[in-house]
Amino acid sequence: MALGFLAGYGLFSDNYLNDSMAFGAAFSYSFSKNIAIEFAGLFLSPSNDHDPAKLSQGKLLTIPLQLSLLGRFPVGTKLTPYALAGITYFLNSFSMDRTAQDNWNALGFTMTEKVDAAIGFHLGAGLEYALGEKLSAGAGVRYCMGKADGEWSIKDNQSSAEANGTFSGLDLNSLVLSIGLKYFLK
Amino acid sequence: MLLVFSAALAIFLPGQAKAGHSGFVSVRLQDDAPDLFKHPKIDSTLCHLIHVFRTQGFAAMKQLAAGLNLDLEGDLLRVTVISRERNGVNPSALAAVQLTPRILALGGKVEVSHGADVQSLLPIDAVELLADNAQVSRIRLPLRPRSCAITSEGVYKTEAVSWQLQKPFHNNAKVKVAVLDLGFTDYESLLGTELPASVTAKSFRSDGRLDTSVHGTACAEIVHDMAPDAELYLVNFGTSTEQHQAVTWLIGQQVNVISYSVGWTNAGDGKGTGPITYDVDRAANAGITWCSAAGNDARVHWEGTFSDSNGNDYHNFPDNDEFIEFSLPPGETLWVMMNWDDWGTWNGSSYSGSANDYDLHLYYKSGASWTYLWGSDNPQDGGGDWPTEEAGVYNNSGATATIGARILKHSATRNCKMEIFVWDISGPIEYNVPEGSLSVPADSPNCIALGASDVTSDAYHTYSSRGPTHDGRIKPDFAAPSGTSGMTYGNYGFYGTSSSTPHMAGAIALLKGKTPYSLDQILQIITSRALDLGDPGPDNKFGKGRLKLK
Repeated sequence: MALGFLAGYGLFSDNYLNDSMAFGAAFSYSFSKNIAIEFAGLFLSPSNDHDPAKLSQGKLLTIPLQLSLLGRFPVGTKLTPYALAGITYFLNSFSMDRTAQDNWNALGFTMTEKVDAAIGFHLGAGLEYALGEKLSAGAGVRYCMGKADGEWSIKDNQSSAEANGTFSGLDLNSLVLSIGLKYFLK
Repeated sequence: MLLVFSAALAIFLPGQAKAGHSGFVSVRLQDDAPDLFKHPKIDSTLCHLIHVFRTQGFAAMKQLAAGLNLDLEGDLLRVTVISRERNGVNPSALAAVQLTPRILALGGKVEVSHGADVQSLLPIDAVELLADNAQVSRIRLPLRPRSCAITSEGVYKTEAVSWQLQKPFHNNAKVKVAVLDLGFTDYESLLGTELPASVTAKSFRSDGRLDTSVHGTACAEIVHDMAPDAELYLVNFGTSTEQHQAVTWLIGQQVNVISYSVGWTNAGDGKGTGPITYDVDRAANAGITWCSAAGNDARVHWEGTFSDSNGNDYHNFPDNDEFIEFSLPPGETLWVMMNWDDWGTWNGSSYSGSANDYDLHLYYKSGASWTYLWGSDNPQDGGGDWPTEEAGVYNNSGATATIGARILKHSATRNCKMEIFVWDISGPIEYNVPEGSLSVPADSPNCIALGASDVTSDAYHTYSSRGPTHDGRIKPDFAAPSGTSGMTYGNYGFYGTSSSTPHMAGAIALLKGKTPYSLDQILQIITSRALDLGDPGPDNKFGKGRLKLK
């Protein structure tokens, strides 16, 4: 069993989502020298540009929770390349840019935008280097794939006129480059 | 001598060009402390920026520069460095060559040069260092051009400008606004400045001409000022038949809003029916919002029930006066349009007509006596005839003439409610009744009728036609700014409900483009924000209030 922490950088393929720092933690259980499962959680908070079809300018908080099957291929006593693949559950939260929101509030409107959770996939690879018996350092890359739906609403505070709707297909695909440390519990 | 003539159905433009005045507001930047930094080779705005940088830091200087709309590229400020070298042979190369190494060494960049001017990007803390260079004559901000566009003051008065800065919320549809008018003379010269870079222009006149009036061009300018992102359709016509075709086409083009600063008289019963309001109904059924000018006839309108106290079959105005008088300057023409409340039933294409026959007689006054000029005496005998009469007078006498109209009850079974409009004079006419002076189709329940409020003071413009409709409904629906500026009519030169109407059409298009609301909801939003003027609540001058978007 091992517990790891990672930090890195996420590159989003969606034109409106900007790149973001990435942080995460992972817990892995090895069935053998070569096979393990891993449960990881990442944290990314890309800012997004205004997309009139999906999201206003703001910040998307996305937490991909990943269950992976790892294949580990030790080379010698220190180096262990690995590959992984699995399913991802994206927990998402969106907050509209404060200035944009204030401007709409000043016009007399209240709006909400929400990004739903989504299920996707991921695959990745990396390299671990044993620093000692219980500690290793590593670098890796993960490609996460997923699309999320969402809802929006707008209400005029003066006339009470309301409109709401949904959008679909928000592209959450991202390439996360990371480095990390892993501590082997046993 | 006075020339008289008649026309079957006449139209007018509820817009009056009027000589205006120019004015501007200037804003003077204030500072809490006098500038302490001066340099003989640096212009004063740059000195001010350097002073702010040194006393308040880089962020404050950058914020000030951005607030003054100065050209910033990242952390570098665009300036013009004027070289001390003057050389008639390839001067730009010499100046740039001599100064470039120094500019680069100071962390700047040379962008372009011409003559002694070297346009550069400089860090603010390098300006003084560069100015101390012997090769530098002066460092100033670049000369900047300014667009000569004229924006209607209504954009600010209605607070549309706050909406224009917003990014659309869940809406990426292009909004189509049609300006349906009598002509668009010279619109081509305004493309890309006062009008969008491209518009769809189509004439439904039989002669195919678009250049028949500047009026539509002026209206289109206002729509574009209010809703710069809207797609504009410029469509003109000359007759009611041509208008029907134009509206059919616009329905096919799926426009969202029609701006209609045109009015008709003797063209409907004033209760929302008739061949002109039929076009409004068709557009409304197709989901189009129709904005219509209320008219400019409040001062040239009379109405009252026919009354013949002395039994000679002529209507008696107050004090038993049988003449309603108008003053006609030399060289001018006026039209007297009369109708009465006996249109019959509208079946969607025609009225069943009147069986009460009234005639209109025109006279001119010479001394104390009246001389008969002309009578409009169409028969109304129940055969589908409209209850209308109209006659015109041209004054070529060389002096101001007093024209009088009399109403004759030719053969009628009841005393009808009569109505007179006088076209092409400024009024007020004798026995003026401003109430009920709406143009057709402002009486339609399917249009948004606009009255005129002053763009500066919000005062009611006394020419602005008033309700109620002939079936008692309050009209206009709203008031909007008039007396506004534009390229066509000049500074503060566009008066009339013609100016008011495109402000509303543009406002609707603006909100439609920025929000996901339906047109009905947008009207709800506009209604909730309208500034109540005049008598509290909806009234027949300002409607539900003056257009206000915030």
